[in-house]
Amino acid sequence: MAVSATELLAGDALHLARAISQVERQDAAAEALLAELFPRSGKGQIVGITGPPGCGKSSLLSALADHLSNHGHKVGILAIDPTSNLTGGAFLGDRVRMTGLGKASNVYIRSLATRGATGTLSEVAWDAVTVLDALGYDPIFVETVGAGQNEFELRTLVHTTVLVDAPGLGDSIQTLKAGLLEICDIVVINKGDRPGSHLAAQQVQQMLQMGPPSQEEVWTVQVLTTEALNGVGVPNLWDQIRGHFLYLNQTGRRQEIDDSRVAHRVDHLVQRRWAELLPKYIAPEQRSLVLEKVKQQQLDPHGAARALFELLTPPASIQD
Amino acid sequence: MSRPIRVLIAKPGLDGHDRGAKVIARGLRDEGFEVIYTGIRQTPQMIAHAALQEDVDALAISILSGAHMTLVPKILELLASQGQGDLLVVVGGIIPTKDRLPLKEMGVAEIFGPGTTIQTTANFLRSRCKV
Repeated sequence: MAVSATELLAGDALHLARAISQVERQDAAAEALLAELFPRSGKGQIVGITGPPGCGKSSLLSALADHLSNHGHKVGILAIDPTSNLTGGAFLGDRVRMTGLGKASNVYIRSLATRGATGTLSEVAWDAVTVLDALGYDPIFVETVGAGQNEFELRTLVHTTVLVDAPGLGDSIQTLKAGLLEICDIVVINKGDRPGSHLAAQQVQQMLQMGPPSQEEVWTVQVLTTEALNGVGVPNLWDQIRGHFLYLNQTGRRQEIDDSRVAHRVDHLVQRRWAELLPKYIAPEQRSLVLEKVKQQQLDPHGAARALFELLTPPASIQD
Repeated sequence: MSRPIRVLIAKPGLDGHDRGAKVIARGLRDEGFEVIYTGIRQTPQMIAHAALQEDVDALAISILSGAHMTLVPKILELLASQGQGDLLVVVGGIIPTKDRLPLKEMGVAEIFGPGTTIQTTANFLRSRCKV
C-alpha cells in the first residue's frame, strides 16, 4: 500500500519504514512520493562511512548514533550490504553491531541490499536519503563496505566521507594505493586499543602529507583514533564531522557539492531509463545474431557493439 | 516488479546458541531472500523495533532456551501494538509438541523444528509473503 507524504510527515515510525520500502520498489507511487518530499530535503548533513570489512564501521556508527541521540539529534543510518549476483539474496548483518541502539526512538536504522547496483551503493540509497532528509534527519549516515575501488560513487551521494580503518590490515604500502585516501575528508583508525594503531595513524598521516601542497582554504584531512566498543574518541569524531560540514557551508563548497549531487543523480536516472529502453531498439534476435559471429571469431566485441549501435537511428543532427 | 522477500531472523532471550539461526540466514540468502539478522540475546522490544524499522515481510524467531511461551507472545503483542499485527511470524528451534498449537493460536504461522530443510522454510515464506 502506498504511503502518502502527509502520513509520512506526521512522523509515524511505521510510515517511514514503509516509505523506504516504497522507494525500494522504484514504481510510480515511489516517484510521486519523492516528488513531494524532494522540495523539503537538502537540510541534513549526509555522511558516508566506508572502509574494509571488519574494521568496525557498524560498531563505530552505533557509538556515534548513541552519542548523537543523547544530544537530541535525529539520526538516520542506511547500512548497505551486497546482494549476491548469483541468487539475488543478501545477508544484512550491520544491525548486529547496533543492538545498543535497540530502543532509541530518534535513531532510524535501515539495512539495504545493493540489489543489482553496479558499485557498493544501493540503487535506492539516494532516494532513501531524500526521504530521511525531508523528515528532518540530520545527520544521515550511509555505510558501505569499501575496498578503494568504487568509492567515487559514494562521493556523489554525500557531503562528508569518513574512511574507517583498523591496525593490522596492511603496512604502509597499502596507504600508497590510489583510491580510498583520495576521497575521504576524515580518516579514523578504529580499534585504537590494539597494538599498531598509533603506527597505522602515523602512516596515514605521512601519506596525506606527501600529497600536493594545500590550496588557500582546502580542508585538511584529519586522522583520528577511536575505540568504538567503549566510545573513546567518538565525541571528537563527531566534532570533526560537523566541523567539515561547517567548513563546506562557510566556503560555499556545500552548494557546489549539492549541485553536482543532483546533476549526477539526474544523469544516472537518464542512463538507467536509456538502459531499460535499449532492448526495444536492439531486438534480442539481432543481438544473438551478432553475438554468434563473435563466438565464431568472425567479429570482435568492438565491431559487434558498433554493428548493434548502427541498428539505432539517431536524429539526423548527430549522424556523422 | 518482483523484489526479494525481506526476513528478520531474531534470537530473543538468554540463548546464545545461534548456529541454527546462522544456518537459516545463510540458507535463505542462497534462496534469494534478503536476510537481516539481529544477533543474539535480544529483548522482545529490540526485535519488534527492528521489525518495524526494517519493514520486513516476515519475522523468523529462533529459540532453543525453552522460553518460547513467554517471549513469543510478548513479541506478538508488541508487533500488534505498533501496527504490524498482520506480519508473518514463524518460529524455529526446540518447541515441544504440546506448545505448538498454543503458539499457532497466538498467531504464529508455522513452527519449524530440527531437520526441516531450507527449501521447506523458503517455500513456506514464498507462499505466504505478498511482495
